[in-house]
This record gives sequence, C-alpha cells and structure tokens, in this order.
Amino acid sequence: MACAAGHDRVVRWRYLVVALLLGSGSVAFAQCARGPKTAEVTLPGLFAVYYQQFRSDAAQDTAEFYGGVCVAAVGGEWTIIAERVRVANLSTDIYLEAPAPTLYLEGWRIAGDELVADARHLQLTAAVLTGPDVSGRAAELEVDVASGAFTLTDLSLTGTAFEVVGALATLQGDVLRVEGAEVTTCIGVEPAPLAIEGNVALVALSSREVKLGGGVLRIGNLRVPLREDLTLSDKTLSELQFPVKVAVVEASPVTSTPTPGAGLSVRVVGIPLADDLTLEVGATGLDPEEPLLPVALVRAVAEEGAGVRSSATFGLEAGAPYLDFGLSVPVAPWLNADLTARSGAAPARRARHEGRLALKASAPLPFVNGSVVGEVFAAATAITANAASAQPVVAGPRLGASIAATAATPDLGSLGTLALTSRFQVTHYPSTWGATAPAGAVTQWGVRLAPSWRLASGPVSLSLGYDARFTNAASPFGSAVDGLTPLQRATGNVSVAGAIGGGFSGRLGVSATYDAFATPALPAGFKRLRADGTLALDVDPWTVTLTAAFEAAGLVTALPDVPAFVSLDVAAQRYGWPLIGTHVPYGSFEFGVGAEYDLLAVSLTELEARLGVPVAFDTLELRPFVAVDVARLLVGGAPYLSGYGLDLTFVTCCGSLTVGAINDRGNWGASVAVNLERRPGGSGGVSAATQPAPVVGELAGEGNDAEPGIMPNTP
Amino acid sequence: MGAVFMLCMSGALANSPFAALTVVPTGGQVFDIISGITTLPQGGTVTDQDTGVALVAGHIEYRAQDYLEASRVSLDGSFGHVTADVMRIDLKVGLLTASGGLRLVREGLSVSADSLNFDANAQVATFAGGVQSSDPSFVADRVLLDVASGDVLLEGEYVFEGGVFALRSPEGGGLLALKLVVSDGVTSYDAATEVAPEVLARFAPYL
Repeated sequence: MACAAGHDRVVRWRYLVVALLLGSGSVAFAQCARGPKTAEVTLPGLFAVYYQQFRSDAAQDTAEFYGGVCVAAVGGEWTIIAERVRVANLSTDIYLEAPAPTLYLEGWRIAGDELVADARHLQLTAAVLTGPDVSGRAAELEVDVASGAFTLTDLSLTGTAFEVVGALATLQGDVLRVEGAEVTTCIGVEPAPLAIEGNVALVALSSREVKLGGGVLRIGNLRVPLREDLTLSDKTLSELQFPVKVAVVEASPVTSTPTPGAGLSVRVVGIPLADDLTLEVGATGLDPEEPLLPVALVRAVAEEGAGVRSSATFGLEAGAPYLDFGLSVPVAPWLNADLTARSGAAPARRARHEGRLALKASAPLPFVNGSVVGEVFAAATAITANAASAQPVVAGPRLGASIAATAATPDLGSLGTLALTSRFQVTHYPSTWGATAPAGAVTQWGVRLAPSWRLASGPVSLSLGYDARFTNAASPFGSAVDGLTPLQRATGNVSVAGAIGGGFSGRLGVSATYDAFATPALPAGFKRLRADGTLALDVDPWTVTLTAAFEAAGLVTALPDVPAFVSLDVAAQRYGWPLIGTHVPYGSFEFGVGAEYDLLAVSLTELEARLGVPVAFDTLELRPFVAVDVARLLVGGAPYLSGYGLDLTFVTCCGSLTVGAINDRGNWGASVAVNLERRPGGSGGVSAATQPAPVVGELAGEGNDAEPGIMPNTP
Repeated sequence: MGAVFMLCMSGALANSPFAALTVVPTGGQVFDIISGITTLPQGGTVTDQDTGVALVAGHIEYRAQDYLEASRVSLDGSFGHVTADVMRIDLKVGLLTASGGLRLVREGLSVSADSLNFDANAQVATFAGGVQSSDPSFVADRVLLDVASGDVLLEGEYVFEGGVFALRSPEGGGLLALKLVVSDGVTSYDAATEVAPEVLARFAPYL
C-alpha cells in the first residue's frame, strides 16, 4: 500500500530526526562558549572554535579540534557542531574539514557527511536539512557566508503539505528558488502519482507558498500544461486551474425541449497534443433531461513575432462540428486588424456562422484615468436554430463602427471617486434573409452613458450610478448577436460592515434600483428596494449567523417579477464535530431554519429546516445535506424536500479531494475542493476545504458585439 | 683580578649538579670564619666545571657545599640565558631558584616570569607568576620547560597564540603541551591539549 509506505517513511523520518538529536550525544557536550572543560580559539574576523581537545601539526600545517567542537562565525551567522574539526593550510588559505557535522544556520539544522569551509563558503555533502517549516535532504549544500545564500543540488524538501524536488536550488532568506522543480502533495510516495513540474519554482518557506514558472501538471504519465507563473500554497489552490471543468448550462433562448449542450457537462481540458496544441474532451447533457453528447475540441494558440496572434478551435461541441479561428495582426502600435471565422454552436445556444474583419484602435487617456477604443468591422453572419440546422433563422452582412471611452477622477478623499463609461455604436444591415428576418436595409444605433460615484470610508460604503442606454433596437439578428435594448436605470447602495465586538460582526445595507423612464421593454418604477443585514457571532467552536432581508420594490411598483418579501434565516455551524464515524470530521456540522414571507401574496412561501452532518472515516468523509420546506403544511399541503446534496471527500496520500453536488429548490450545483494538508489518519479539521469549486455556472455564449444594450437579467 | 676558589663538593654532593663551582670574584671578598659564608660585595663569576654553567652577578654570597646566592644575575647554560634580580642555588639538592626581573632566552623560547625553579637533576625549569613569552607568544599561570628536549607545558589559565590561532584555556585552567619542532632551521611548536604520557610523566612531579 503506497500510502502506508509513505507513512512508514514519514515515521522513519521522524525517527531519523530523533536519532540525529540523540546521535549528537557524542558531541552533545560541545558547547559554544568557554567553560570549565571547554577551551576557546579565535581566528579574528572569521570564527571562534570551542573545543575539548586540540592538537596542531606544524609539519602538516594543520590543527585539529576534537572531543566535541563548536565552530561559530564571528557574527553568529552560522554554527557548526562536530566531533572533530580539522583546520588545514594554516599558513596559507586556511579551511575547515569536519566529518559528520551539524550546521545551524538561520533557523536551519543541517547534518551531513562532511563539511568543508573557508572564510567565504561552507560546503556540506549529503546534507539532511531540518527547517522551521520544512525538512529534507540535498546531495550537496554550499553556503555563501557573506550573503547567507544557500545553494543545494539534488534536493528534496518536505513540508506538511507538499514535497519539492529539484536539481539545483538557492535559498536566500525565506525564499527557495528551485530549478528543474517537481512539487507534489504526495508526500512519501515513490514515484509521486501527482506532481507539478516547473522550470523554476520559488518556495516561500514560512508561508509555504510555491510559485512555479512554466508549470506542467503530471498525473501518472499524463502531462497537462498549466498557466505561466502558477502559485500553489497549502492553504489555497485558488490559482490552480484544474484540468476538469464542470458546468451546468441552461438553454438560451429558454425552451422546454431538450437542447444540445444544455444541462450538466464535464470536460477534461488542456490535454497536450503538441506545442501550443491541446485537446478538450468530455460530454454534455449528463443529467437525464438533456441529450448526452460528446465534446472533442482541439485548441491551438500561436504567437508570432511583431505581436501577431492566432488561435483556432475545431472539433465537436455538443456532438456537432465546431470551428472558431482568429487572427490578430498589429498594423500600428495603436491599431490592430482582426480576422475571425466561426461556424458552430456554443452549448445550448443557437449556431452562428460568421466571417468577420475588424480594425480596432485604442489609446490610453491618462489625463482622465481612462482609455478610448474605436472599431470598424465588416461581417457576414448567419444564425441557425442549432448546429445541425442548415436553414438560417437570419443571415446577412453586417457593417459596424463603435467608439467606447472610460474616464475617472482620482480618489477625491471625502468626495469619493467619479467615473464615466460611454459608448457609441452603429451597425448597418444592407440586406438580410432567413426565416424570421426582414429583407430590407436596416441601421441600428446605440449610445450609452453611465456615470457613477463611489465612496468608501471605514466601514461605510456608498455608491450611486445611472445607466442611460439609447437605441433604436433595430438589429434583425436580435440579442444573440448585436441586439440593443434601451435602458434608463438609477442604482444606489449604502452599506456598513465590520466587527461589532464581543464576537459579533455584521453588515447592514440598503440598495435600490429605479428605472426612471419607461422603455419599450421595461416599464418605469422601482425594481429593487431592499434592506438586508447579517449578524454573525463567533463563539468558538460555534458560528451562528442571522440573516434578514426586507424587499419593498413590489409594494411600490406593481409589476410582475418585482417582488416584495421579508426573509429571516438563522444558521449554526461547527467544525470537527460530531464524531459519528471513526475519525473527527473536517466538514462542518450545520443546521438552520429560514423563512420567507411574500408581502404581495400575503403568504408564507418558505419555511425551511436544513441539516448537514459530516461523517468521517480514515480515507473517506461524507457530508450529506438535506433541507425540508414545511410552509405548505400551513395551507393544508405536504412538506417537501427542498434541498439535498452530498459532499464526498477522498483522503489520499496526496491530500484530500472533495466533490460535491447540491440541489437547491431544483437548481443543481457542483463543487470540487482540495485540502493538501489532509492525509489518511489525520483528525479534526478546523477549516473547510480550501478550493473553490471550479464550476462555471454558464459557459460562454455565442458572443455578442452589442455591449451597451444587453438587458440585465435582474430583476 | 681576584683569586680563584674551588667549591669542591664531597660525599653525597659529589655527583650533584653544581658539584664543582669555580668562583672568580670581581673585587674583594669577605669570609666569615664562624658561619663559613663567603661574600663577594662586588660580585664575580661562578662557573660550573661539569656543566659549563656560567653565572655573572653583581653580588654573590655562598657557603661551600650548601648554597650560593647572587643578585643582579646573568646566567648562561644549556637551558639558555637567564637574567634575574636574585638567584639562589641549593647546592645540596641541585635546585636553582630565581626571581625579580626574571627572563629566560633560549632557541625558540623567550620567557619572563615572576619566579623560576630549576631542578638541575631533572633538567626541568618551572616558571610561575605572570609567565609571558614572546617567542612563541603565550601567557600562562605556570610554564614547565624540559631544558633537554625543549618541550614546554603551559598549565592553568593560558592564552597561546600559535600562527593564526589564539588558543585560550578552559575556565579554571588546563594543560597545553608545546612540542619543539625544528624544520629547515625554523623553530616552531606543535601544540596539544592532550599531553603525551611520557611528557606528562616527566613533568608530573612539578604539577
């Protein structure tokens, strides 16, 4: 059992450390100060030697200290403890030799086979290092006495969360730079089934953080390139891009019929095929309501000299052919020419077939802390109902131009910060055809002006904004491509957040959204008028949270989808309890009750009780979650299961992996989490799993050229 | 030039060092017939016929077969050149003691101290009291010298500066043996805190 072997190694390692401590008993009486049995010799400006016995040999030009020797640098930078120390070349280039020494240097305890030192360097072979946070070994260690820099060859360092192996490393202060590095969380497993390889790794020993350049994730013999400058720490892996992507995609436009690409999808991404060429494979529609379809996409990215960039994606997306090609050529430092070609459908979207040529100019506006971007484009576009359909819903050429600018004041102190976002866009459609489109020439224009103000002072934050969007909304392609919608919306927020004292912390906020003028798509009125707050009490080991909200928009704006309600929720959470399985769990025990009262319907819409209980074993932890809504009992109905889910944690020698799925009132969610410090046999976590779920709620849509007029989803 | 007197020993002293001293007074001399003590107020020269030890002093007092005391002394012998304010030779036991401005200079060793005891039978000199040496450089509470071999033993608190080192004894003192080494005409010492048994045995009566 590989993990047991790893444990044995860890145990042996601990024994070794103990043995080293005890083994140094032969020199244990070596003290680094002159005493009744300890004599002293100094080499002015270099070091002092404290010893039991001494002899010199003038003919050999050597001297030897023995019987327990301590050599200490004059400045105290390092100390060597050894049974004997030989000093050679006394009359010329003096140097030290010490068999089986122990070197103490800047918090490190380093044992080795043989030490050779002169006034400038210390060299130690077969070094065994014990540091404040990591321990390990190196074939050779060299220390530059003046700078305190370590150079290690063929090293292996082990912390509580990871092991670093490298061909060459330098340690300067707290940072270890490892070349040819391999970092793995699989401590004591040979070979490590999972590792991250990098050209260079920077290991911050105290914070136990690893930064890798040119990282490659190795799983067995499979190597998946990671992004440049990856940061890995044992507290969070938030910057680690997992090669597996989980997504839940809803069809757009919404339809009741099964849609290719909709539902739950899982993809393995970034599988390298060649330089700059990766493969993405997976499946969509893993839930029974949607069609199960394969995904196999090849992605290529190339960057030529002079800033020329190209990218291509081709293969099968949700069972249908897919092609996306882009080429960007700089014409001038401020001007780019972009050519794109696309044919296919993003998951659960209509298919788009398009060729597009654009010129994009950009310039910073430093005097107003902003920038300006202008673009002209010409495109031939066809939209079909799905990738398999050859009949266009709408097709035709598009000719467009746009200019967008941003500006902001510097921080004006008590006056806050003012900002302005603006955009003007015009698109001409000379002719269109298809199932739903008119045939005549059409021009769409749009203007957006969005001033905003923000002030943050201590626990108080305030913001005001206005979003004015003017457009004739004339695009025959609709919102899927560049459809614009008008809007006149004011927003405001005030919040106070922070610690209250006595273990209490909280947040209180008021926010409003008001559509000042009616548009063809939106009537005027308040769309949000809400006061909400949270009060949390930390009484170790419990955390109790009270959340309340009052939404009044529906009381003053009589429109569908504008709610009015009062909600209240109380939740309690505790880690490391209860002990139901064989081990103390890492997951949280949680229970709570919540209620929501609809002020318009004058009825209790939710009255929910929920419970999550962790159960931990040696290599497995489960945390089932269940929520029951009993509100219907009040109107003669039956309670129902309003939520359920399960977190499964697999505890391995490489850390733990938690996968979770939850259904909250019909909405599915999934999560993946990693804890690098957890190993089999461990007990009692006090923190949650550290990795936020790499789940994207919705994959990228078809793309849209019409930024200013996209209607917000809320309310 | 005064008369020459032979301090010939007899009986038990016949085989002792300083058994055949020849005294040459610089000026006059006074002989106390009651005590048998001879005083040379202007000093003189005393020479050991057997060892070749030659003593020159500004004032000398002696009694045949018993002792010789001198002041403002300059002494040459196999052990080197010694100067001292006062010196006494116990003719019966072969012990030379000196003090005051005491200094010994010999090949590879130049020592000053408060006092010197030289056991002429064992050929061991003991320096005590603020012993300092400039060649080699050391200070010590006591220093033993084997005048035959040139070996030196530092005892008690010491500081020995040998080449690049400045060896300092443990608190409360210790031993440091300095073995004379002559290589290509250059005199140096091998130092060791562990004293060789034969050296230790030789110096043991004086530790």
